Amino acid sequence: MNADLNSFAWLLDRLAYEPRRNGKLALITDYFRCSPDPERGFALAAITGQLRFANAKAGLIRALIAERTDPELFALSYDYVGDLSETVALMWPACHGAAGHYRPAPTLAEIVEALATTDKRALPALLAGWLDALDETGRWALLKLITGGLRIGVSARMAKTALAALGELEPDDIEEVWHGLEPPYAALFAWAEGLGPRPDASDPAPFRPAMLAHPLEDEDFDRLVPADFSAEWKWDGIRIQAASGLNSQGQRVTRLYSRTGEDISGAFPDLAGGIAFDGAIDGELLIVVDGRVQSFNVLQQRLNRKTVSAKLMTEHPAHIRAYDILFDGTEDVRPLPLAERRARLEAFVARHVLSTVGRRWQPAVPILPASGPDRTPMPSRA
Amino acid sequence: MRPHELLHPTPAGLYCPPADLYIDPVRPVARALITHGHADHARAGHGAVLATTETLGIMAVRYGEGFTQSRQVAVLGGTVRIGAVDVTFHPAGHVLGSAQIAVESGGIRIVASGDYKRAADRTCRAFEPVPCDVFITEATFGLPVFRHPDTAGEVAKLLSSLALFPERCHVIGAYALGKAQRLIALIRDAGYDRPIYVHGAMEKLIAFYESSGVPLGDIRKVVAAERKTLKGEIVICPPSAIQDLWARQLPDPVTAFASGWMRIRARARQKGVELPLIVSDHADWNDLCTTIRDVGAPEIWVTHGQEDALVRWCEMSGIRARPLRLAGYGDDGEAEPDGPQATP
Repeated sequence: MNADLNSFAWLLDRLAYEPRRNGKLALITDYFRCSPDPERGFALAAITGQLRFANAKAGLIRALIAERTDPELFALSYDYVGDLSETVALMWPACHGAAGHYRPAPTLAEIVEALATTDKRALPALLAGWLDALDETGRWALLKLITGGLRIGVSARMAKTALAALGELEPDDIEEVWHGLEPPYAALFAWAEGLGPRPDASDPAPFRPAMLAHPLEDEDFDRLVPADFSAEWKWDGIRIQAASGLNSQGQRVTRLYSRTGEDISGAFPDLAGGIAFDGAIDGELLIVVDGRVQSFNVLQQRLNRKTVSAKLMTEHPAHIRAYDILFDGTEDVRPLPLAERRARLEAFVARHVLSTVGRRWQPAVPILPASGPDRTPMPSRA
Repeated sequence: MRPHELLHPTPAGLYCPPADLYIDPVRPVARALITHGHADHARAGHGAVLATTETLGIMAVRYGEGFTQSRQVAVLGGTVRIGAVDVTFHPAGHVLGSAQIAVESGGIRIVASGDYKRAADRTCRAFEPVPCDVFITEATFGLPVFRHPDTAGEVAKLLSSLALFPERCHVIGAYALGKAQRLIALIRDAGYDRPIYVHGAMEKLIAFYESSGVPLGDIRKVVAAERKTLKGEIVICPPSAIQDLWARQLPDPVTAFASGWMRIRARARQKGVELPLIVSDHADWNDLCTTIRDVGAPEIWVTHGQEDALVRWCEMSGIRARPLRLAGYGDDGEAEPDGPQATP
């Protein structure tokens, strides 16, 4: 079993060089299969961006290496290598394996726990001790991990796909329970391996994988029968999912997700705060001023923020243009045909008169020929 | 006699006036002493060449028997007197036949190490430290970031990739002289006994190693018609071939490269390498420093590579040192002009 950070580092090292999606998936699945809990769970958290280390900054790393190396040799080396974490990892004086200096390499679990509980003043000694105990690749991975610069070309979705490949699950099965779970995901791994039940997704507002839009090609128009489809406008916003429900204490939990399942509620309290339904709807996030949908450039000013000012919310109010309903109360309506879901959506929006979602569903439009206007309607398969 | 009167750099190479000879000259000269067979050290067209029997053999394989007008075998440890100078060859541990060359006259001994390494390598004789007044060291990996890992771990990386991707061919770029043979030996020592496939440009030197008493197991030349059948196999080719059409015709290749440069991520990426194997035929930073201490020379001349950092280390250690700016040697030290000569 791979039990310490050196083996996770080995995975990160291989992922950083492997260009192929299938190659990356095979490497991650193999690591999950060969690594114990809770190590693999923290590895999954690291890859999916669920770990944050507040106190470990580049300045601390520079100070540690300055105590241990000649400044001129460091400058020549840094200039040659061009990356601080890598230079430090390679130059760090090796105690690894030296007589009298042996200490076991830390596990990822140990690192996560210690960084969460260690006082800022004790951090340098803690970090130095770990660097002493790791090899070059281990040191590189540790420094990349704590400074938040993994950059191994693996999305959260890909990591979940690799996890699903441990057994018979589909990646979407993982998505459905993901937001109710915390690292190190022991129950999730057990389920993926067919050794345990589906983890209890106690989250009242989980993400559900959305049906994505695909462009139509010219030849598709000859094959598809217009009567089998309905069409609606594709708006130039971002795809969003609004989910809401009551938790076990009876409090309302509302989340807004991007189409990849990233929780973006923090950037849109105006939208999230106005939602009081039980269920989940799928739609387009738009900025609407005086009844007019604003350009994507305007929307961009509100994206990728952790918090947002009152001024920005007043000037650029967010809205949802509803496309579809996924959950109506606690009922999963996704198995229903689109026409039935459409009726449900209209009734659902009519029931919940909301400042931001209310009645702004899409009227269905007839399918237009390929030579129609620029905004080709997005057909949804019933 | 002062050291620079015994040996000093010239545009043609390191020149020894009292014996009228050059060490590893980069231009044709009357009398040349050759440390080892890499093309930037061993060139054709000299009047007379003194080198180990293996180096002479390698030069003949590469350039043909007419590579020099006359040749003389240097026996390791045996002294040859040329003019007023005693010349002795000592093993350098770099590649088969590689030697350091000691020149001694007027009570001064200078050792030109050529390229060398201290790590274990069963394909050549191990480096022997020679006490001297001036030690000329290479500095290919003369930065403290270069500490080569244990080669067994690198081979394990290769073999685990083969196990994980059994449907893909693993194509490894390795220099045709020294690196390729050492890599094969390391793979064999790890217990891998399947055939290892090689690019046609490597065949002759591998045969030369085997005839010199270095067994390398079942080696097969890649035949064009069989290229598509090599999934799950190891193929070794010159570095220039790994991104060639030649390599891309192999089944879904994993591109590997065996070199000390693979320690630096940007260098590995620049070459499009997916599986970097840190295996070097040069001393790493620690071994450069250890060797300078081992030979105990009061003065160090530093050549081809990262001279500045190693000179700085010598100064910090209280050893007199200066860079010796020699032109004409591979800018990146492990480079060889050996391309894929023939498409097999």
